[in-house]
Amino acid sequence: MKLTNAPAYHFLWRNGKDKMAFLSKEDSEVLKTEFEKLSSPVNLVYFTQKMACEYCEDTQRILEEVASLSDKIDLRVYNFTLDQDQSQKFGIEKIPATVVMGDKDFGIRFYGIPSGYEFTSLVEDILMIGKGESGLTEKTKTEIKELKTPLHFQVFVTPT
Amino acid sequence: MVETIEFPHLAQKYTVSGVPKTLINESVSFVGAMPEEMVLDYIRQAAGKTKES
Repeated sequence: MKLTNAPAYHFLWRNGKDKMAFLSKEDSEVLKTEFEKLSSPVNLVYFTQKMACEYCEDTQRILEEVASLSDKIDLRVYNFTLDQDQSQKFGIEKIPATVVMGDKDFGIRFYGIPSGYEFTSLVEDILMIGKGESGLTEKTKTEIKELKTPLHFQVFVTPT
Repeated sequence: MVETIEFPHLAQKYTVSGVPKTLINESVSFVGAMPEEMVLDYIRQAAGKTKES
C-alpha cells in the first residue's frame, strides 16, 4: 500500500481550520480498495474533548474521513469527561485516544494524532483487525499464546 | 501508540530520546524497528521467562 500524501503536521498547519479534506482523492481511492479486503467489522472508539486539546479536532476529522471510506469501519465518538463510564470501560486516561477493535477489544490504543507515519500504523491496524490476521509467524503466535503474564506495550513515536 | 510531542510528561518519565521506543511492562525497552524474533526475545524477558539458547 502506497500513500502519496498521508496527513502530516505540515499538512494540518497549512490547512488550518478550514474544511479541506485531510486525505487526497488519490489516497482515499487507495484506502477504499484496501478496505474492500476487510472481512469483519472494525470499530474505532474515539475519546475527545473541546477544550485544552490541541489535536483532538484534527484527530476526529482524520478518523471521520477514514470511517467514511468503508461500511465495515464504524466510528463512535465519546467525550472524555462527560462520558466517564465509557472512558473507564476502555481504560482511557489521556486524550486524544482512539481504540481500534473488532467485536473484541484487543487492547490497541492510539494516544495522540494518527498523522504522518502513524496514519499508516492506524490503517495497518484496521486491516489486521478486519482481516483477522496479524501477519506474525506461527512460531511467534504459538509462543505468545502460552504467555501467562499480562504484557503492556507502549510504543513512543513522533508523527514525522 | 503514544505520540511523544503531545504527551511530553510521559516521554520524560520513560526517558524517550529516540523513536520509536517500545516499552514492555515498564521493565524492558528497545529503540527502533526490530526483527520479529528479537521482539519475541524482549517479550520473553518481560514475561520473566528464561531465554531460549
